[in-house]
Amino acid sequence: MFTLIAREIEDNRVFFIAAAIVAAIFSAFFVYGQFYGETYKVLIGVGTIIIPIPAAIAFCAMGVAQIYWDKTKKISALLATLAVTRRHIFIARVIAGFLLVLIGFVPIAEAIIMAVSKIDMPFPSVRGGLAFEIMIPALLLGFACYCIGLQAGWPSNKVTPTLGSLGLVIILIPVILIKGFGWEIYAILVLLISACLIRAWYRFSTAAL
Amino acid sequence: MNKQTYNPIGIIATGFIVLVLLSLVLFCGRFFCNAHLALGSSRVIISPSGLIPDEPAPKRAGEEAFARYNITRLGPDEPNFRYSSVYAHIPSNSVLISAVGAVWDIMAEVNPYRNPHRDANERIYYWYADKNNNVCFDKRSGLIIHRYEDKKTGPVELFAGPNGVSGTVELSLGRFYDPIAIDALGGSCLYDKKTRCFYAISFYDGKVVSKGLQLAEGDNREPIANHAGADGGLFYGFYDEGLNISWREPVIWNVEKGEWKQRRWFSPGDAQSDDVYGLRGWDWPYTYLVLDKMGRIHICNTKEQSLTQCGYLPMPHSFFGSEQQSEIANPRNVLGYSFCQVTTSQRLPADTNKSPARSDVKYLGMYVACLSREGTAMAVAVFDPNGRLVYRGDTFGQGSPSATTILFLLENLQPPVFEIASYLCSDRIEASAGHRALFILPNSFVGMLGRYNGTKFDREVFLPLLMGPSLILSIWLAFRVRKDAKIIGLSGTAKKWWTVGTIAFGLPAYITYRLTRSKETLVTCQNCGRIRRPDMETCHHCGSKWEMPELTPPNWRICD
Amino acid sequence: MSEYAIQTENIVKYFDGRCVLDGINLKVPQGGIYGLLGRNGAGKTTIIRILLGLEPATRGGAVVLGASSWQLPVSVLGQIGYVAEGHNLIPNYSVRRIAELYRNLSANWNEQFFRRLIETFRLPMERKVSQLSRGMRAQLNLSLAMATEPKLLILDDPTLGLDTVARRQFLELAVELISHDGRTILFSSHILSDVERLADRIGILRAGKLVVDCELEELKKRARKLRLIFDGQPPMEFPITGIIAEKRQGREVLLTVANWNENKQTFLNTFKPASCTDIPMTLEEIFIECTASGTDAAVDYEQGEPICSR
Repeated sequence: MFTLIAREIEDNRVFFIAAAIVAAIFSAFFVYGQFYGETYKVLIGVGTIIIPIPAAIAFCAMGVAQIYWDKTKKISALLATLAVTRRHIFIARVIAGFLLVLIGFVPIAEAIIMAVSKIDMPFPSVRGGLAFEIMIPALLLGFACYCIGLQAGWPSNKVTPTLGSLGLVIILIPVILIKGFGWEIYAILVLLISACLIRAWYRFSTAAL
Repeated sequence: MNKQTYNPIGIIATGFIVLVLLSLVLFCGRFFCNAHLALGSSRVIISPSGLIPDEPAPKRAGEEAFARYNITRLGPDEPNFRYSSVYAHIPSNSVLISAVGAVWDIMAEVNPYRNPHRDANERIYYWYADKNNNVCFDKRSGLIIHRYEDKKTGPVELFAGPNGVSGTVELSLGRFYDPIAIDALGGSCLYDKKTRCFYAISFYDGKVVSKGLQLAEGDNREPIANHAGADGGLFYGFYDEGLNISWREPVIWNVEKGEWKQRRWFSPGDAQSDDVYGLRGWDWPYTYLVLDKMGRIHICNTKEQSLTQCGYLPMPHSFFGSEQQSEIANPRNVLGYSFCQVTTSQRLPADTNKSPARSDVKYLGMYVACLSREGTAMAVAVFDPNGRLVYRGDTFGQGSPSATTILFLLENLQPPVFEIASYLCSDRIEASAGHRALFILPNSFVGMLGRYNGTKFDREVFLPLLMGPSLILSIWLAFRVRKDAKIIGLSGTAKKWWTVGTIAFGLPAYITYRLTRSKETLVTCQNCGRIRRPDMETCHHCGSKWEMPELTPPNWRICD
Repeated sequence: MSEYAIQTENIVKYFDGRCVLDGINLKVPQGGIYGLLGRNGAGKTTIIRILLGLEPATRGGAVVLGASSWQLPVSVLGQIGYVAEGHNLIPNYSVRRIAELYRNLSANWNEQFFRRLIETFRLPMERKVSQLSRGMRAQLNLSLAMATEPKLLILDDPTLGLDTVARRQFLELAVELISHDGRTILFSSHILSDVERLADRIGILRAGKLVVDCELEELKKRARKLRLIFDGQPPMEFPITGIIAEKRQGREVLLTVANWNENKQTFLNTFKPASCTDIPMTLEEIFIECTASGTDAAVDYEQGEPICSR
């Protein structure tokens, strides 16, 4: 399993490197930018809201890329003839995708929470307050977008996965705006992630490699 | 061995994905339609207000709704005099945006007026300006803590319990158990839900605590928390930016200065009238307005230990009109409300730079504005000092018919099952939560019908009409699904489930069917000539097996 | 343990409504070399992919090393080596990296054997797969498959792209592999001389069916090509079963017959040919006769059953 996960990471290293770089840059900004006064607070707020959007698209792109390149290069067809089953291949793929979301997201989230805690907010808050409560559904949304990407990568041409995944992500992102940051969004996103994984597994397990 | 076996879990998973994504698309469409409609119910003006004794009587309640335009009537004898008015308006469709989940949660976090906020030390803040200026309830000690900056002495901290106010924490102060703030500035007027008692705390004037009426158990006049609005007014409301209501004093044209001159409490030097009108509580904090959970407004006098009804939240119009509705709106069922008292007192001499004594302030009445749960209708009511309705004004969203039609059609793309649930459960879902609903829509037309208090016949006639497009669509889609299922050879049980499911869930079910149906290309049965599935052992039309070879092999074999 | 390494039961496969396999019942005994032959598009690769669980059968199933082919467990997968048609390896991987992948994911990996093969084929370890020539990719693929020490080796046109020397090396390796007890090879190839050299059993696909499934020597005995010369006009038809092909030229008739036996010989003699000469056929010639189109007799039914010798 470790070999499969390492293979997935290495094959998609562009995503992981980009995620690590972006996370490092934004984390540094949020941690050290506090010395830049009022503008910084505005940028924190803007960043908290805007960063999840391209991040969600990137996570979805990872899912699309995994499926699309797997079909194009017949990677699973090769692996499935070794001493690994389709289940191993799928689990490794999903673990790699989730790792990407964590790598890209957690440092930024931590930096935002830390930065917000240093700002003199108008109100004392519990548990890092709103910043923490925003980050959890945002993280779940990242997972959900990745899982949506696993659905969208199946068509053979390049246009359909690209546009289709973009469309689905654009439709999905407002769910946080609509539902807010409470238990409802957790329930919806967790169920959505589960449903996407079930469907992705069903397609992968029954498809010709 | 057939790899593409029927997988109910996969189908349910696909259905859920389709349902969520489709609901999000429909939500966005409905939101834009509602926003468009909300702009049509943007303002109500009542002029004259009916609260000033020497003004002509306004139109009585029950008569035609007043003008929606920003024109106030001038006095008949004095062209340079403008009557008092009550003016309510929604400046933009931020009302709906405020109800959206993320905005709601962010505002609740940063705006203590929205919800009492709890911090790590188990303190609930009723008002917060900064760390040296705030009012909170400390759960551990059971005391109200008021911090403020005194110009002379610096930061001051006062502790208040049922038995008094002190500069230190003392057991003799007693403790509150479960207080809610029911005044504008937060923390001075309380109701303790455990002891069922009203309190008024004066932190500045005498540092006393006045215990008001204790309600009997089961008394349905139990108040709900009210949250202060922006500075400059005492707005009790769900939000302060979205629903603006104001009372305008009578004004006179100042010929010398060339401007309308308003009279204020704190403006010495006016010579036109001896009366001034204002909004301040006439014996604050000992006397204040309280809203109970049934929608009635009372004057709570802690000194007299009385609770006297002085008004109520007027129920805004719904799509089905107002005649059959309850007159009084439940606070849970409206998106926003705002109410305020109007008082008067004698003008003080010009050289006196003081406020009138509390005992000189007279209660003239109050006004209330209420926004319907859909955000598309507003009702404004004015009550006299005896609590009688003096005047009522209403708007109902008269935005474009096309927006209404599109909204209706979008609501009908929801699954019929959810529409029925909306009809049955709409009054159980809080108004603001309805604006975040994805699946069950309490603010839809069907939801409105569910809250409609008309006759059973009315409801039974309207319900099929409202759900008609949805039912027609579902039945048509179910027919198509059944036809296709028959062609591709689904089993009888599967066909039944799909048909019932499509009737129940409509468009999402149909899309799910198309995504999950077998993709196997059908071939012609050599027995009956109809198309059959190659992955099934027998033809699902004639039952024949695969008798004839599909290709034309030679008739010889060389085998062991 | 079953005597068969591979057993299929009435495998049917459709692609977009077009039937490719129409009831394949293949049995590959343990410890032998089975040559699966057929023209382009006959379904050889499809059968192999179904056996490996890469492709679902439309109907029917297969058992490979005792396990259902669609759900092969890790323990069985670890005993199978596979060389795909076209030598499907991950193009952007280097030889070293792909070897490492195989090493980590294989149940049994013989590093010594692999290195020997690499040295024999002189494959550069640092070069990417996409930069290798076709023949080198074939050699790499073979090396990887064989180094896993499989109990069942499935080769889909393994010598495609190999030069003569490399082909000979492969054949020798295959023989060496098979010398281990219990090892089985299923392979398909268009180079029938190689098949003839290696295979114990032969299977030939035609029109979605396995028209030939027997030992090679048996096949050569049962498939006969006869030159018949008649004094006068030859008979319009020869009502014997199993005529694979028939060619006429004047008084001469070339007849290819399946399941040749004495009865058929006796029956032919009744037509009193002037001469009847047996023309020996190589496997390639047998294959051509069996798979050439347009020479099928119409399907003839007696009592509702097709006439064929089984």
